[in-house]
Amino acid sequence: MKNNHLLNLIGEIDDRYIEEVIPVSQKKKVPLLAKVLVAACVCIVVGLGYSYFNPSSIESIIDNGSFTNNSAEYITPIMVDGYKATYEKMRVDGKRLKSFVGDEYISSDSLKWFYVEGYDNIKYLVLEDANGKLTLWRFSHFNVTASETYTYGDVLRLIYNVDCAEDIVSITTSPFNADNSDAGKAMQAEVGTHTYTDRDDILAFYEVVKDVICYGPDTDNPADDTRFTYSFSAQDGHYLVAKDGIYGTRCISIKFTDGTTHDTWKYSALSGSFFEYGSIFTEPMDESDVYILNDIFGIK
Amino acid sequence: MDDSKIIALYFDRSEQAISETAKKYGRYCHYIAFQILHNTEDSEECVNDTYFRAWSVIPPKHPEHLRTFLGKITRNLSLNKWEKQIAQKRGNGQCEQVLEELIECIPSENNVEKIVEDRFILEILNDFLYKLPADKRKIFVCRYWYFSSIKEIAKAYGISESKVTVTLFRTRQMLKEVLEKEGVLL
Repeated sequence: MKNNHLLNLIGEIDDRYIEEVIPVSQKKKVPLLAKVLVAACVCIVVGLGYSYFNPSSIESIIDNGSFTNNSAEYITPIMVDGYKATYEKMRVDGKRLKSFVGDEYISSDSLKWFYVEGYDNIKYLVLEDANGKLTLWRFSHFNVTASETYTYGDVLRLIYNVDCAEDIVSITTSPFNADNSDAGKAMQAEVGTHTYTDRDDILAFYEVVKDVICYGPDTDNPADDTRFTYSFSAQDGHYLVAKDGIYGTRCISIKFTDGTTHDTWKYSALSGSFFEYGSIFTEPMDESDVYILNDIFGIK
Repeated sequence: MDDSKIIALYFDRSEQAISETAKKYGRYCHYIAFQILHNTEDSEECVNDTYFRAWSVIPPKHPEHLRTFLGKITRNLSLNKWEKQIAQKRGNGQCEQVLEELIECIPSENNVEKIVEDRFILEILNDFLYKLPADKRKIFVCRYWYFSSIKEIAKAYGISESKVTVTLFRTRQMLKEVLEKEGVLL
C-alpha cells in the first residue's frame, strides 16, 4: 500500500470522526467580551482548585539529584530518533514513581520505558524492569563518537519537544558558584540572578542556541578562555582567575511552556561557548552570536 | 437553511439547492480544497465540481451528514487534481508534507503476512480512531483528513506546535503498529 493509498482510505473514515472536527477557519469568532468573561471564570476556578488538584511535579520527588556515577548501573543508553542518548539514574523512591508512569515510550526484552505522566518530553523516563521495579532516569547527552556532532536544536527538539522560541517561557541566569570565599560570594551577589521574559530576547537566544554544535563525551574542550576580554577581565596568562570566571560565566535555566526546565548549561562569555554539566563541550560560537548573548545577559 | 431542507431542494431538482449549498458549505469546501492545492483558482474549480457531483448523485443518495458528504467529494477531487499537478511539478500545499508523514505508518515489506482489502483497512482505521482519545483523534483528523497545518491545529486547540507534532508522531506510530499487526501489505 502506498502512502497516497492510505491517504485516500483515510478520506473514507466514518462521518462521525469528520463531524466532530471543525477546521479552525470555520469556527465562529467569539466576541471579545465573552472571551474575557470566560477567562475570568476559568481563573477563579483554577485558582480555587489548583492546590487541591495539581499533582506534584516529578522534580519534587527526586532526592538529591542523580547518582553521579558513570558505572553501567547508573547510566544507560536509549535510542532517540537515531541518536544514542545517555540517561542517568536519579535518586528517587521507586514507590513514589508509580503515579508518574505515563504512556509507554519504548520497550525491549524485559525492560519497558515510560513517559512521565503529564509530560510530553523525554527529559525524564521511567524504567520498569522485569520484576516490576520502577526507576527514574534523566537525559544527559547524546553519545556520539569523537568525529560526530549534533546541534543543541536536536536536543531541544528530540528531548524537550521544543522547536521554536514560542515554546520557551523564560531564561534565568545565575552566577557561577565555583568560588565560595567571601570575595567570591560578593562577586556572585553582584552578578545576581536574572530572569528574561522579553520575547525578542528569547527569540534571539533560541536562534543562537539551536545551532550550537555539541561534541560527544570523549572530546577535549575546544574553548579558549582568553578569546574575549571584558571590562572585568583580569586573566593571568592562560589561567582563568576567579573574577573572570564569576563575572564572565552564567548558569542557564530555561523554562518551557509545558513547565519543564532545562538547567544543565553554563555559558562562558570569555570563550564564547556553552558547557553542559557532565563535561559535554560545544563548538565556540561566532562572534556575532556571542555579542547577542552578552547583550541579553548584560555582560560588558 | 437546515440540511434536510437543502436535500429536499436537490430532490425537487431546484437549482436553489446549489446556491443554498454554496452559502452554507462553500467556505468549508474551499478550506479543504485550498489546504491540498494551495491555489485559489484550482480550489474554486474543485468546489464547483463538488456542487456538480452532489447535484448528480442526490437523488437517489440521501446523505446523512451533508457537510461531511460534500467534504469527502471535495477532498477526493482535490487530491486527484493535486496528484496530476505533482506529475507536472506544481502545487505547494500541505499535501506533500502530509504524505511524507504518513509514510511512517506504512509497515515495511518484510513484515507482511497477507494482503488486506480496502474495506478491511477502512475497518481497521475506523476501529483505530474509535479507540483513540478524542483529543488525539481530532488532531489526527485535522491533519490527515483536513490537511490543516501544524500551526492551525496548535492554535485551534490552544497547544504548542511541538505538542501537535509529538501527538501526531505518536499516533502515526500507533497506527503503524495496528496496520502491522493486521498484516497490511505495502
